[in-house]
Amino acid sequence: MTLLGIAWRNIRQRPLTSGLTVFSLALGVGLVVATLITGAIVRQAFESGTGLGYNMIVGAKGSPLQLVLNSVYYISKPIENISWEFYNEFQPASRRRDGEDGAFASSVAVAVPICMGDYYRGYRVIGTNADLFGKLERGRGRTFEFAEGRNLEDANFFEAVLGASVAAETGIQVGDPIKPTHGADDGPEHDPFIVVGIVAATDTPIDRGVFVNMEGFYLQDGHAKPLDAEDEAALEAAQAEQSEGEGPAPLPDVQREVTSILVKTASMPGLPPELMSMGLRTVINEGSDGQAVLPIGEIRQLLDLFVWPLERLLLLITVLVVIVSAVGILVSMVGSSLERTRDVAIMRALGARRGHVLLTVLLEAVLLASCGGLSGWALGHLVVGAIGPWIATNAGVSASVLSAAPGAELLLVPFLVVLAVAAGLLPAIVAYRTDVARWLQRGG
Amino acid sequence: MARQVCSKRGLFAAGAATCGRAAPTTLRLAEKTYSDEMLASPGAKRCLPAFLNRLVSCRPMANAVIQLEQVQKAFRTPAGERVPILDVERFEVAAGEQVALEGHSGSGKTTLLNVIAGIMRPDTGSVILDGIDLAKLPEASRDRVRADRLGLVFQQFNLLPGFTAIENVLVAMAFSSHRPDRGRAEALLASVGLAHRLSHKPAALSVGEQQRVAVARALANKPRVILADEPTASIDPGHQQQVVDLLKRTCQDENVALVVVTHTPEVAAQFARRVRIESFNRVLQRMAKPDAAAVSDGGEA
Repeated sequence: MTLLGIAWRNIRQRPLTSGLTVFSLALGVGLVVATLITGAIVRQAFESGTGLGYNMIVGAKGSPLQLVLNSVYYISKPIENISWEFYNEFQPASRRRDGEDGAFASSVAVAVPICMGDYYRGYRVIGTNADLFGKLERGRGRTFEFAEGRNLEDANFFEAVLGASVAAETGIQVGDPIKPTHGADDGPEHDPFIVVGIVAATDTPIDRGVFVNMEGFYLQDGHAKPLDAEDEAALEAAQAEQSEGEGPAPLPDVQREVTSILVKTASMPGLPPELMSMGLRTVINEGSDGQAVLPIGEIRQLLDLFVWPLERLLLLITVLVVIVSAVGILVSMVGSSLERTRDVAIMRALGARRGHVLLTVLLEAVLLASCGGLSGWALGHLVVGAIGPWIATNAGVSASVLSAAPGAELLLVPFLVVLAVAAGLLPAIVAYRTDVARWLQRGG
Repeated sequence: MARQVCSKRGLFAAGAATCGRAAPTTLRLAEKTYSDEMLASPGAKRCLPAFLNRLVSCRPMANAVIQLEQVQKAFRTPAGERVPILDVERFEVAAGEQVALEGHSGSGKTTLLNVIAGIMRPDTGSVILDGIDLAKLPEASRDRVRADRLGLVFQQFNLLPGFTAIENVLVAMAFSSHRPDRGRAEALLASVGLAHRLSHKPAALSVGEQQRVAVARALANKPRVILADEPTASIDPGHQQQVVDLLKRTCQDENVALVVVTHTPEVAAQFARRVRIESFNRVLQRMAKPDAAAVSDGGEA
């Protein structure tokens, strides 16, 4: 029988006390692990937004942060829509009916429209065009790849592309039809869109989006802008022009709006891109049509003001919880010290050296801490798995049992073991100092 | 093998025995010759006349596994007063010998056992256990000697309650320099009739069975000596005999010296050598009437 075996026996000798100690430790560690993982995935989610393939978002006037949360992370409600005319100011001549460059076209490399308001099984449906995956990059110099199928084609109105997480979690495959709902998960169903592609995982909010062709999006109930009398006339003229085409007619421009525009500013020789985007932002913000925000600045501000302080607070709570857990070990072991004194005296009489009993008690503390720590670690992951859907809805990232906070999480159990050794020192020293002779002296 | 008779005074007083420094020593008494081996043999002592036993007890034993010489031990009261407990000129036990140590409560029996076991260090003198002077060793070394060469049987058996019978035996092995040997532990428990109770915890064992586990545990590390502190005190008379028989038999089988502290005359009577602690603890002699103090050695019953 080894000292470890003796320590384990000592623990099993007091099943209730040891069990409660391990249980309280597991609860503490579970809470800490869940907090760390949640913090880590939320931070990771927000940081992933800094690797965007665009450097400006244009949307309706209002909160810049709300615009970023909505357009980058697909969380929070859209502010308002911006007009189609304003959107067109970002388009080059080749994409405009009037054949002239938009007012901002020279400063813009890519401008991708985003239309929001629909849902599919809890995921945001984003109406857009083929440029989102075709022209924007998913990070610096990295293009989007398709795990299956292909990108949207602008000419095929009722096509959809799924983010990697959506495909994985719903099991929908290329070729399957999906029916978005209007306004909310339980809203009225729209016409079906056929899934033509699944984007390879990007570890960004893109993974949790359902992307449909904007033209099809516009044709669904409730998506056309209500018209006034002047617009009605323009609409009739437009419909007369388009009536000869094949397939469903696109929504007339007068009835179109977009939620926001993802803009990648053009780089000009001799002009740093930051200066270009700053200049464009100033011009747009001085106008009344909408606002331009630089998402990285907003995200950094969000991280600095909210995420990181919160994370530091969570870390403090974590440390306190772990210390309380270690005190639990101390209380448990001191509580059983009277019982232990007798056992220690017996072992000392049998020839155990003081070092043996010291080590046995410390091993006992380490075993309790390891049991509590490891079960707490597993518990923490189970908790994250259980609240995963809630995190997904509120933070726009998927969280599962397998989510992890690599650095802090790996350090937690060793840290707890070190604390347990510290907590076990007092009872260990009491055991070390057990006076065998006095204990045996009772005989006379 | 040369032996020295330490007290010729006793010999001449007997008037019928001779002794010499040349080897081998023989004692001749009323036409009967007692050889060296006979004197050393524990069983032979029963046949010796009492005065000769006293004489033998003052001779240093060549084959002694316990030898205490000029051992003194005192405690200090909280007030700082020094209270002597032990003052032993000589106390010896031969290899394989079985001794009953008697004495009233507070006479220092347990202190004597603690000193022999190396749990306490004497203030002066030497405590030689199996050739090693424990009095000169630091605590950790005494612990090691105790683990390797000594078995202890306690009054309350003192089995570890959370450990099974076999684990109680294995625990004793864990602290010795031998590797824990499950086979030996099983064999020891089988030898005390507990082969079928290996996995039972003390609470599930009868009093007699617990004591048998305690005896098996004491034998775990092949000790040279077993010290049993009132092993029958807390058990009913029906079991007392069983325990005494078990201790005597197993120690005889394993050639282990046995010192049993007991209050019970019936128990003491079953041992070849009965020693009252008053006979060699000079603290007690000084406390008793002055004429008794003159008897400084050889007080065996």
